[in-house]
Amino acid sequence: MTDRDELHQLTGAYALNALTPSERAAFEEYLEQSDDAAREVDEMTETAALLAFSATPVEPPADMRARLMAAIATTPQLAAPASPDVAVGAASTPSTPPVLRAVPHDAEPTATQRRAIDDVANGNTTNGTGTAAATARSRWFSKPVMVLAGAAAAAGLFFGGSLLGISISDTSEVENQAASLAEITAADDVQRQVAEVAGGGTATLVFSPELDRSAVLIDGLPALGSDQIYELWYIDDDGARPAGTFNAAESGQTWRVLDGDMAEDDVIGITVEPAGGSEAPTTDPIVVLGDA
Amino acid sequence: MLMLVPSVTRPTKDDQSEGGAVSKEDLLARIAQADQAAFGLLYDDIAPRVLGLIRRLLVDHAQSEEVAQEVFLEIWQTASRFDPAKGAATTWILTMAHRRAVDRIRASQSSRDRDTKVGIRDFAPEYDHVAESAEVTIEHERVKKAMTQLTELQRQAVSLAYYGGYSHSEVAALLSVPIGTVKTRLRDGMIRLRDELGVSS
Repeated sequence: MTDRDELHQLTGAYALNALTPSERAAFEEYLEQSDDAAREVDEMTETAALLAFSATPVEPPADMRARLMAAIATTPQLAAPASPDVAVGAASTPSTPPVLRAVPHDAEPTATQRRAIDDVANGNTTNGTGTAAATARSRWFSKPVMVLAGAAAAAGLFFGGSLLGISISDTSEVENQAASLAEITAADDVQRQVAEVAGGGTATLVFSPELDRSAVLIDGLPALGSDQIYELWYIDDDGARPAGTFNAAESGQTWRVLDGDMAEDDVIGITVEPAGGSEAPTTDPIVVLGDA
Repeated sequence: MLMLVPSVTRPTKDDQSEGGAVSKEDLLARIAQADQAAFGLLYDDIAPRVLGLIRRLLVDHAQSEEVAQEVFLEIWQTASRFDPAKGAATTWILTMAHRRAVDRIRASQSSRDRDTKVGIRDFAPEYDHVAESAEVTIEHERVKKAMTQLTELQRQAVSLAYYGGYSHSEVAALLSVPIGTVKTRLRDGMIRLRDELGVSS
């Protein structure tokens, strides 16, 4: 049996989402080249969707609709391929703060999702998906251009500009931070780690070893007095290197892309420091992230 | 509740009427234009179906609702990528929902949780439950009938994969058969279902 024959056997498993990620990738490559397989997968996907009719419908809780309606009001859409500017423009002036959920730490975005995240962040739809669109005869379902809630958070922050320690009027810095966050989130090797913060809240480290960049998102971090500030640190066996300071957002999520580069063995710590920050930590970290 | 509108009589934009007769394809087109009201209509139409499918896989209520919300957010964000020439809106949405549910299962590979919760659950589809619209019941019956045309192994493999969210290697372990056999059974089982259900492209 040739490789192609073997791959062709996977049409059923593929339509049922029963492949491992690496098999899925190999199979999708094969799909690009085989009209027969693509047709078979289309039919099986439709068949699989019919299987859904055997699952008993469940009435969603009443507030789910309200939450979603509020969320979409401030969630940017992927523009149609023909008019890349429309949706981003429409979503760039939300009247209420974006509805953010904690980054789903248990779900790694797929490559396609990351491209989508990138697309949303850049208001751009050609990058990455163009080739797929050109070659995939009917693979819209197999390459769902997907944006996770985490990505929505990134995009929402980008458009809404909820900020931390950076003056909201300093839009170029905001955009730099947002662009960096989007870049990290879109990296092929992006990883996430979540930890509890001493004194309340949850911190999520989002980092890309390939880019050596990282960002921290924190939910429910208490605000400090004007004489204190949060400081980020890269910590290795030799000590701590400063990675930037920030204030807690008044409510909801606080996030910041770390200054400088994250080395391979670094962990990330956050301490409370005197206003202006310190050269070396003067208190114990309220949270440490990145230790495997 | 989901309305199945036969494609030949699917209403066009011109003759759409109040009360859910607008096709989901049309709603998606409007959603792609940032029409929030259309999103609300689509949600009302298909949310129980989406949540039902996801809950079938995840079992856990809270997680299922979370994933369902993600799916609807994804629908909003990516509606412009839906192409009616390539398939029905329902297929697009339910395929997305299934994939996200499976993603969640794989991501939280503390699927041991799930297994203990599920136990040795019977993965045969739930057939009799809840008052459903006549249209849905018809679909239900068709699927049920088609399932009976599969061999025992085909039916078990397809059910475990689709309703259980198990990967083919997990299915192989659960059924104590070689992986290669599972792959083949998933394919010929799906081919059989496709033919029984009259799906063709």
